[in-house]
Amino acid sequence: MRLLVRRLTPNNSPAAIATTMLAAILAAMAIASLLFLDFGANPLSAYYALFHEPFGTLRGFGYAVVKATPLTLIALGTIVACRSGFTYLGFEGCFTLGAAASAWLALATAPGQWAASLSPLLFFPAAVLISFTVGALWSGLTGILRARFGGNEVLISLMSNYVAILIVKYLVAGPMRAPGSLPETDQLPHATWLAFIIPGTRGHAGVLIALAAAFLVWMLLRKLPLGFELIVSGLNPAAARYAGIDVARRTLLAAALSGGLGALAGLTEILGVQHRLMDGISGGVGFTGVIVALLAEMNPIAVLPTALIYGGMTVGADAMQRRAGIPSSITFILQSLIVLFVLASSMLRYYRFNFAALRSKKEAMQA
Amino acid sequence: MSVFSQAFLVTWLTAGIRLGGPVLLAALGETFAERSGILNLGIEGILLLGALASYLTSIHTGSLWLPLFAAMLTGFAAALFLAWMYVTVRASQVVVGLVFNVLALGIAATVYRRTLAHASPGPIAMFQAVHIPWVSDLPIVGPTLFSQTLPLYLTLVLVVVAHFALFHTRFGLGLRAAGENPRAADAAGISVPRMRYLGTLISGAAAGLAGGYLVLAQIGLFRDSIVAGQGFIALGIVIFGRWSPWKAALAAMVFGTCDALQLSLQLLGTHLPEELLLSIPYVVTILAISGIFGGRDVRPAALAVPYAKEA
Amino acid sequence: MRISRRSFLNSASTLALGGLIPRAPAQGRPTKVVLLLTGVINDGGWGQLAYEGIERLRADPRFYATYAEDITLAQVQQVARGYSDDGFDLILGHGFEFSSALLDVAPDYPHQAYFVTSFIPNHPVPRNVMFVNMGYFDAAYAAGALAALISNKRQAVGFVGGADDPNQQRMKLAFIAGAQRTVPGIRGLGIITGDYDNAAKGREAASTLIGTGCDVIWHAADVTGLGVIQGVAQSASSAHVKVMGCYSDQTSLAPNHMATSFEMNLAGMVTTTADAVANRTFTGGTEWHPTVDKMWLLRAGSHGKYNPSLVSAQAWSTFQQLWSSLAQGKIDVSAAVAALQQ
Repeated sequence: MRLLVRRLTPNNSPAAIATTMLAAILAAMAIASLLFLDFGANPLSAYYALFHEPFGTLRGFGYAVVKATPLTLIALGTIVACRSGFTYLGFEGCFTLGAAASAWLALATAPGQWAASLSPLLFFPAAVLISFTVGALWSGLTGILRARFGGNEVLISLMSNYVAILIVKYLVAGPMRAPGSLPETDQLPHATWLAFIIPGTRGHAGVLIALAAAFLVWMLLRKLPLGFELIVSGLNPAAARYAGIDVARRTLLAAALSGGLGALAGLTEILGVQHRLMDGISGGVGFTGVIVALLAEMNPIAVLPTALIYGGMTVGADAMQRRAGIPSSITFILQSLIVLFVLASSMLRYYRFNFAALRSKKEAMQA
Repeated sequence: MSVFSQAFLVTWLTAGIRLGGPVLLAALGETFAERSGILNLGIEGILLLGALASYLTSIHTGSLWLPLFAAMLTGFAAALFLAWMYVTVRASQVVVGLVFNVLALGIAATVYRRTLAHASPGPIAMFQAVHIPWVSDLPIVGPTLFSQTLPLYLTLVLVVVAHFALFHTRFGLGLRAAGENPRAADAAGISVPRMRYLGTLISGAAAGLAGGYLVLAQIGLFRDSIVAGQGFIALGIVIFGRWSPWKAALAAMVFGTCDALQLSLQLLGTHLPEELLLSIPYVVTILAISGIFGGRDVRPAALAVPYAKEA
Repeated sequence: MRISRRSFLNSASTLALGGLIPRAPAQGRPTKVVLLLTGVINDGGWGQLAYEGIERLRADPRFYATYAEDITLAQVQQVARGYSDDGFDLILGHGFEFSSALLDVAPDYPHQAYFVTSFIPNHPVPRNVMFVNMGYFDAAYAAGALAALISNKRQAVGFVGGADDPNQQRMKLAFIAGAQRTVPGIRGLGIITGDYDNAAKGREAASTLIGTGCDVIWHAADVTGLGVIQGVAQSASSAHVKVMGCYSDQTSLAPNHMATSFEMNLAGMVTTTADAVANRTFTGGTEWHPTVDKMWLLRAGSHGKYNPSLVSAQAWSTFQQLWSSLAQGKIDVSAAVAALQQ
C-alpha cells in the first residue's frame, strides 16, 4: 500500500489550499535559510526583520501600504482583463505613461504655468481622469488590435511596454527635463502631492484610490450586469455572441479599464512617493502586480491582503539587508522561490495521505 | 566619412551581425517552445545561467568547447524545471517565466559573489574570428558575414537545421500540432505533454548555449548584468520572425543593426534621439503581429494555453 | 610621484571647515555608515572601489559600516529613509542617481549626514548634504591628451560613455578637447552607448571606433566599458589598438593592450568622509573639490603607472607636465569644452 494516493480531482477546500501554501512558503524559507547561513547571517534574526519591520512597526507598515498601493491597482487591472478573457501584460507601460501624465499636469500647476490657477480640489480629480484616460487609450490600442484584427494581446502588450518606456525615457531626457540637470523633471509642486494620511509614516492617500478601485471592481464583476457580460465574453465568446453580447466591444472595454487602473498605479507612485518623473520608476511593478492577482486567485477583495503581504515582504527584505547584512540577491531567491513553490504546491492537492498505509506499515514492523 | 562609404557599412553591419548572433540562437530555441504551445519567458534567466556556467567552466578548465557544453547542459537542466512547471503543474506560463528570471538573477549574483567576488581571474580563452577562405575577400559581405566566430556560423547552420526539423520531419509536425490544436493532436496519438517538454527543453538548451556564446565569443567575462534584456529581445525576434527560423534570422539582423546604427550614427554627428531608434524594432514587431496587414495569423493557436487531457 | 593615503586625507580635512550641523554620534557608540549603490559591490570598478572603503571602516572599531546594493531608482527614497530611520550617521549615495532623492530625504533628518558622489546642483542645498566634484572633466581631458600622445597612427582616438547623462556627454567633449589640443591634427571621437550595463554593446562601440580609424580608446562606462576593453583585445593584432581603463586598475583584463588605467580613489573618499563625520568636521551644503591628481591615480598592474611597451617615456613625460598643470588649475577644461561646443 502506498503512503501517498493520487486523487482524481484536486482537493480545493480552503483548509487544503492554506495548508499547501504554508508548506510551500516554509519550504522556500528553509532553502533560503541555508543561504543565509552561508553568508554568516542568523536565519532567525533575518526572518524576524523580514516580518517584524512591515507588520510589527508603524513606520514599516506605512511603507508596506505604500508598496501595496500600486500592486493592488495593477492586480485589479489584471483581474478585469483576465476575467474578460484578455491576457494583458502591458502594465509596465501603462504605469509609466500614467505616471508621466500626472507629472505633466502637476508640473503645469507650478507658478507661471498654464494650469497655475487650478485649485488642489480640482487638481486631483483632473489628474486621476487624465492618467486613467492615457492608460486606457494605451491599452485600448492593444484591445483594438485584438478585437478588430485578431492580433495576440499577450505578445503585443509585452512589446508595447518597451515602446511606452522609451517614450517616457525620451520625455525626461528631452521635453520634460529640468533645465541643465539629470534626466528627470523638476520636483512637483507640494500642493500636488498626495497627503500623508497615516501619521508618523509615509503612507499616502493613494491607498484610498486603491481601496475604492477594489470596491468598484468587486461591484462590477459581482453585482452589475455589465460585469456578468464581461465574464461570459471571457469564458465563452461564442455563447456570449449567441446571447446578443457584443464581444468585441466588451473586450475593448476590459482592455481600457485595466490599462486605466495600471495608469492610476503610476499616478499614486508619482504623486505619493517620487514627486518627480524619471526613467525607470516602475521597477518591475507592472509584472509583480500580475503575480499578486494570480496569487489572489483573481479575486478583487483577496487582492488587498495579498498585495499588502507582498509589499510588506519587499519592505522586510530591505530591513533584512540593513539589519542582517543579507545581499539583495538572496532576497530575490527567497521571493521567487516562494512564488514558484506556491504555484507548484497546487500539485500537492492532487494527493492525500493514506494513513491506513502508515498504520499497516507500523503493524508490519511490530510483527 | 559618409553613411555610404564602405568602411562605415562594414563597421556598422559587422557590429550589427555580432550583436544579433546570441539573440538569434536563443530565438531559434524559443521558436520550438512556442510552436509547441509554450511561451517560455524564462529564457532571459537561462541565458544568464548559461553565461555563468560557461564562464566558471572556462576559468577552471581553460577549454573552449567544454564551457559551451556546460552552458547548454545548464540551460537544459533549468528548462527541465520550467517544463515541469509549465506542462505538469500547468501553472501560468507568464508568471512562472517572469519569476524564474528573478530566481536566475538571484542565483547568478549569489554564485558569482561566492566564487569570484574578490579574485579577478583575468581574460579567458575566447573564440576568434575565422576568415572563411575566398568568400571573406568579397567586398562588404566578406568582412561582415564571413569573418565571424565559429558560434555565429554554428548558429546559421542551426537556422537551416531548425527549419528542416520544424517543417520537414514527423517530430516537427507533432510539435506544431501540439501548439496549434492540442486536442486534435492528442486524438491523433501525439503526446502533447511530451511535445511541450521537448519544445521547452530545446529552448532551454539553446538559451543556455546563447549565454555561453555571449561570454565565449563576445565579451569574455561575467557580471550578473551582462544579459541586459537580451532574452526579451529574443522573444521579440521570434514574434517578429513569425515563428519561422528563416525570418527569425532576418529579424535578429534587423534588431542587431538597429542597435549598432545608434552607435555608428553618433560618429557622423547626426543626433537622432536614441529612444526613437531603439523603439523601431518594437513598433515594427507590434505591427507585424497585429493582424492589420491581413495575412494568416501564424501564431500557434494554443500558445500559452495549458493543456489538460479530459479525464 | 605616488599619492599616499595620508596626503589625501590631509588635503581632505583641510577642506572640512565651518560650522557643524550633523550631531556627532553619542559617546561610546560607533559611527554608523552606509554605502548605497545602484550597482553591486563586486563590479570590479565604481562600486567595488567604494566598497573597499567600507571594508576599511569595518576594520576600525570606531565605525559600524554596511552597504545596500542593486537599488533601483524606484526604491532609492524608501531605502534612504530606511537607513535614516535606523539612525545611520552617514548615508553615502554613490552616483548621480542619489542626488535628488537624498536632497528630498535629508531635510527630514537634520542631524544625520548625507554624501552624494556627484556634482552639487545649481540651487541651495541643505546643510547636512555634501556633494563632491571628482574631477571627471579634468581626468577626461587628461585621458584624451594621453590617448593622442600614445596614438601610433595619429589619426583618431575614441571615448566610450555609459548612460546618456550630461556628465558623460561633457566627459566626451573634455576627452575630445584634450586630444585635439595636445596633438594638433588628431581627431577625437566619442560614442555614448546609453547604458552602463551592456558589455556586448560596449564591445561594438569599440569596434565601431576602431573601424573609423581610432587606435587608442578610453571608456568611462563601467560594465559596458568591460566590453570596450574586450573589443580592443579582440581587434586585429595588426591594428595595434590600445585601450585605457577607468575607475579601477583594469590591466589584468587586457594585459597586452592596456596602456594604463585611470583609477579613482573612491575608498579614500569614503573613509575621509566617514572620518569627518566621526570627528564632527563634516560640512554639508557644499561641494568638496579635491584636485584631479588626488582623486585619480594612474595604475598599470605590475608595470607601475604605465605599460612601457605601449607608452613611450617621452609621451609619459609630456603627459606628466600636463597632469600637474591640470592639478594646479593651470588648464581651463571648461573653456576648452565650451570652445568645442561652438
